Amino acid sequence: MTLTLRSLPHPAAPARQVRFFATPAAALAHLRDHLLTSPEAEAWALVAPGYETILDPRSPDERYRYSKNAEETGGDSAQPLYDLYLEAVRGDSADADRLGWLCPAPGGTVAFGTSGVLLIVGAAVVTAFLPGQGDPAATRRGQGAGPNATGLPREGGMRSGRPGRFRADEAERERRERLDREAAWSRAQRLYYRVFRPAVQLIRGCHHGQRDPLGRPLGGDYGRLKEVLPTRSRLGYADWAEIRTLCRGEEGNP
Amino acid sequence: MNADPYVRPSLRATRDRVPDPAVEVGAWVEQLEDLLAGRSPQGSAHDAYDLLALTARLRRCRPDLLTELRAAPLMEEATAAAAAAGGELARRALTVPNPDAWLAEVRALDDSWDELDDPAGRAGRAARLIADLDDADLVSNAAAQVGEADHDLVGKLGECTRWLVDHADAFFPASVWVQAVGLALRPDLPEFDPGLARTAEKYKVLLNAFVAAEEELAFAGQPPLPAGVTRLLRLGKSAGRGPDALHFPGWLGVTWAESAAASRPAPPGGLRLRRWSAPGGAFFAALVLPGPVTDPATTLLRLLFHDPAGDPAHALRDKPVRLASVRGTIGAKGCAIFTLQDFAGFLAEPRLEVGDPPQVWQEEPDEAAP
Repeated sequence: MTLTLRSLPHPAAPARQVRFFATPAAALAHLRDHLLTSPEAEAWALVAPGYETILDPRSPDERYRYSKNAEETGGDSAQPLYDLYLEAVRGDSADADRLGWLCPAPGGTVAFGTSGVLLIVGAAVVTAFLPGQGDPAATRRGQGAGPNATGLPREGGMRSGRPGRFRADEAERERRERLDREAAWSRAQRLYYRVFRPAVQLIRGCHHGQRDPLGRPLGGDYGRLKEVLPTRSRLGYADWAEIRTLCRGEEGNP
Repeated sequence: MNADPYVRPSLRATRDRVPDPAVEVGAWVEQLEDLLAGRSPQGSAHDAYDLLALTARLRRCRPDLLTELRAAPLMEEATAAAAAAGGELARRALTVPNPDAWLAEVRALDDSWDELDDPAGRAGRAARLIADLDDADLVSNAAAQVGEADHDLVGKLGECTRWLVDHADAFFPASVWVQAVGLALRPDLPEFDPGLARTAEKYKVLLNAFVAAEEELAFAGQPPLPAGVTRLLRLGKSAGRGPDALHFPGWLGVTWAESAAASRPAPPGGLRLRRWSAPGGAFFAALVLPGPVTDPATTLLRLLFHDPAGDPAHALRDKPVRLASVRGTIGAKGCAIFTLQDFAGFLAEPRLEVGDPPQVWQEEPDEAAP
């Protein structure tokens, strides 16, 4: 048995169905790199609440085991997570169509939805992820570390703390306390502040980050989405909630 | 003589108006908002560090940019918070910067220069390393101003800066980002705050190195500009003129993506949802306005029709619509699509008429309006 690939409507041409990844191997690589890697895994649990019925996104051990198991079963064991991923991406793809949050790019159509999912669709879905959930290099280092990896990606290098002066244990305790306090937020607030807004910030940052030194666009060019997204002052929490309701109805705004 | 010490007009991206300082400064404003609202997901030492760094970063910015981004109240709040916490905030912040770790990271970047994969990743990494050093300089400077100077840190940051100066070309992938930061800096910074101006010296060094690098590239005979870039250049010129070049109804709130580098501030406005309701309230319409515009001919405006439950108004399919005198048709998914160009020259009110004979829909109050 292997992973069964499914389809979804193309965001720019909804009458056309496209495969959710061209091959099971590509789908599994995306599950591993995005849904099963911290800190993006925790963000996916906000986008797709069913995530926590499959595994605990905060547990490095569980994520590691799930990933290894998926690899060993040829993807068969990961079908529930793949299906959950598909539904989340389908919702944001439809948002992109409705809001016009999409544009052509060299790799296909780049689309973005109200949950903060960025997808690139060519003949099949090429990628779908939550931008702004950590430095990609740090994420790659984290994947290599296996289970029990901790720490925030933005706390490396210069920000890693002065030896002998920085209290890492205290910082970790404060961070956990702060995350506990977030339990008082609504799910919509957490989705906006922890997932959607960082994604928009990264997309805007790509306006400079995905350019060669002469200013010419590079590669995936997510920065093009900046031109079709609302301005910063028009994409506060209240604006987002209204747009989200427009796309998903009241139930889309938990 | 160059009037602005942080801008190099000869750099191609600056000439083409690619760097947009509002993008970077807008992100700093959002970070500071989150920090002051207690939404930061980190510990108090990093919060203290970011509060001092972000406040100083914004103090270095051009006043017109801060006005455009409505950052003044936030900066006042941040300054008051920093003043209330006093030396304790600085002491806490000073536990964060680790110059040795920065040096190790930046040397690794330099050693990987020959790896040509992932140029976007390289650009992002180079920009982050510059920003990380800049933040440490800003925090060190802020601490000194409240009597908490840390001479050991100052010495180590000096080593980092020397490395940056000696290897400025290693940061060339981040050239467009550096140009955007340079465009955000107030030109009179040396007179405004000499301490802050010292922290910005690194940008002058980098910009000078990038000018030299571009001259070398030109000397080596680079291929001509692609057609798309030439087009962007032309659009940038017309976009910079903004409403002087093309007149749009004020209620569309058009802003121009390329206007940030212009000498005058961008016009106010941006996206919002304009909404209308049918007589009797059976249907509603919402016009999703675009973000900053580069090309009115390809910028789509979608007028979405829906029922009270929020579902697309299929019953209105193929009905004619007229929005501010511009004609359209409702499509299969309850959406009428216009281009921004359609509205050029129309200065009419946002009157929406639907059907044949046309019925005038009632405009809903704009809740998002300030």
